[in-house]
Amino acid sequence: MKLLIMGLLTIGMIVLLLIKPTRKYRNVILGLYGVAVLGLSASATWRTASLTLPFYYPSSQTFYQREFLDNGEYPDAFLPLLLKGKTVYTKDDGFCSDEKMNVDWTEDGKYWIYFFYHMRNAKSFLETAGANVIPDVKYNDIVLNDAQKAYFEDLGLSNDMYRYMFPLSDIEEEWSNGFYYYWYYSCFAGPSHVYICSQDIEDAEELLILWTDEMNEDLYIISKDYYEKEVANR
Amino acid sequence: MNELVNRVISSVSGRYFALQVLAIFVIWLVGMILCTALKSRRRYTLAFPMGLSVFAIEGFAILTIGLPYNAPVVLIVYLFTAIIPLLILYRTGELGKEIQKIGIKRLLLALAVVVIIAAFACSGLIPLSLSNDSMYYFHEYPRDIVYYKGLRDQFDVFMTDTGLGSVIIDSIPHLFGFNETFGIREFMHMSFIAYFANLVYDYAMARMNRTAAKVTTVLAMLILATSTPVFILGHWAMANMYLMELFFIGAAEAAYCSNFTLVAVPTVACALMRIEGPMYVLYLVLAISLLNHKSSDLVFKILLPIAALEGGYLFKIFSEYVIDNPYTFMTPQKALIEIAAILAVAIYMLLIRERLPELISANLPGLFIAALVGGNLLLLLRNSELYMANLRAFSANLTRQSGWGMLPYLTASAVAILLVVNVFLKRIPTDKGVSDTLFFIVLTIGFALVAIALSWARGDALDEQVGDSGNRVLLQIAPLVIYTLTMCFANLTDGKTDIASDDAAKE
Repeated sequence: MKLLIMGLLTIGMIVLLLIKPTRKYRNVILGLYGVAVLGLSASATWRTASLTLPFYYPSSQTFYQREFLDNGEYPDAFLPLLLKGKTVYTKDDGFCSDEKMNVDWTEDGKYWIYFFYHMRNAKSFLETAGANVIPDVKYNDIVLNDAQKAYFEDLGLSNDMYRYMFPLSDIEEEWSNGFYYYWYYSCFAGPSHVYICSQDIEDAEELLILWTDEMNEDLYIISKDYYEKEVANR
Repeated sequence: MNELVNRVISSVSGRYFALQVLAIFVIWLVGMILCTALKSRRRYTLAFPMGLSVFAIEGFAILTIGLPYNAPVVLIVYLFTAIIPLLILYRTGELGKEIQKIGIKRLLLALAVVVIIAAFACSGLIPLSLSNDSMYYFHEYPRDIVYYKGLRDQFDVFMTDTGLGSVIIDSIPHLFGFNETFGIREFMHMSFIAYFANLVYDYAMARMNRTAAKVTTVLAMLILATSTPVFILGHWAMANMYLMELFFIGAAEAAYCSNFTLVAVPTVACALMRIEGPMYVLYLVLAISLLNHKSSDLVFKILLPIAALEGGYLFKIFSEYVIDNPYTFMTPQKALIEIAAILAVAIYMLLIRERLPELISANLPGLFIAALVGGNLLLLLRNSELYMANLRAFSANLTRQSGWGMLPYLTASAVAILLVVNVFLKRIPTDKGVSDTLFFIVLTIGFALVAIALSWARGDALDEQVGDSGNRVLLQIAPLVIYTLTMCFANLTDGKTDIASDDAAKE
């Protein structure tokens, strides 16, 4: 259809520009051709652009768009808005400790390194998001049960967020390559989520971050006060 | 959760909006001072691209030298760029003359208009596309650079694959306390469309009456703004928009302005916008050499600054940092080839260009295209499988609507009309006026050939999708195509001559 329309338009233009009775109106003919080109081009854009790419109307003045929540995308664009200036408590177990920094990184078979990397990078992410991170052994053994998890809502998938944490790493010998993280967070690890308990979280000065499962992948964020008063004993 | 997200966003959006409008205003003002000092004829529309280009170049230099990349350093260096020409304008009395010429009321009105357009650009009323690369390469990476006040080992994947110039533009919000650059991007895009209109109007006014020139300008501007490639790239938070627009501005300034610094600034900035940017700019410089610019200007104002900035950056990342990611677009070998190519073109400009035999210099446009075709043939022979796979992907992208809309069909139609009508009417001038038309024709054809060659250099076959980097790079050709065709069609009009006498003369 497109070819037919363009073919007819082209032949029509050539004829009108060449035959003597119409040639003297060539400014008008060229103007009409311009209008036809504009119409065809603009209508194609109108029809296809939104099918080609997702478009947003970014009135929020933040990279995070409200539609991201519906689609469960880019929680890392939202977290700095929430965490900036707050004190954030995390666990302080082996995966977070500085002791493991002094190891032979090249030795094979150290699968714990995956989790170590993950936790160090996650901690760095929180710090660069503007949070004052305080690791505390008190939170090492917390595993949220189903009743406690019910207080949280899903902010979205965090695999890409973790995948791109490596530039923030404090590990000097960091393997630092997209391939490794691509493999880890796309193939090795399952889907990871960020969950937030929105109760009192905006006004709270102190937040608590909990990683609950074995792989330390799902991230739970809650007001420290609210956790201690309402959630901890559930 | 919805409520929380809304409350958190609402608590910051007012302040972020005001800061981004202020940032746009400052960048425009710095660009305006530079354009005034350099006596640009299109200063109102060129001001923002100039201001943004200077910001990118200076940020690139700060990061490459290793100065701390923070707000005070960046701001002092940036404002210094505006204060020096402002003082020169003041000392020479030009500032007073300019203000007198414009008038205080008009000046204040112009500034108010800039603020209103900036507010519109930031309003979120204009659609914008965001993708994974937008999030990580152009939001997270700039944020990381600002957080660490410079580059570091851990950025290796980004440092070798991303043009630092566009990352520097996207670092503005992280330096100055807001969150994204969508308003800055939209203002740049609107400035570019206005600049394009300005250019078409100047071209048309030299060839037709005022009414016809206005109609031509409005049509060309709308065709540009609504064409699918320009709409897609212009509203997608990626580096391609900057390269597309600065490349065109550099070319247009080369064709029409007399002060070479107005050519050099956007052209140098263009080279920094994508990692392969210098190669496009090398071709642009060769094309500019077809015009009557001095070789020394081309070498000392474009090539050497690019060699120093890009060469310094590449030397820094490969010598100072551990680059250990298994796939990188830029490798030390490619970096050496790039710098060697820049130096080879510089040597050509300084030692060979003005000593070419008449036979060669008279046919340089054709020889440039022939050389590019020959180069592409060599690549085809070197790895025909990859080359053909890329060509198939390009062809599929063109016809299966990977962001191209009607542009390929409309271009084919327009070229057919121009060729046939020119055979019979001989309306495309072949006298002095052809130089800018020919310049843009050579530039457009060459751009496509360079894009195909650079896609081959990427090493793996292109994909059939809008987001494939080879496709996005080729989409950047759209303003060149639309402007070149506009020029050719403007030459088909009756112009300022009388129709009857024109026809009579032919008979």
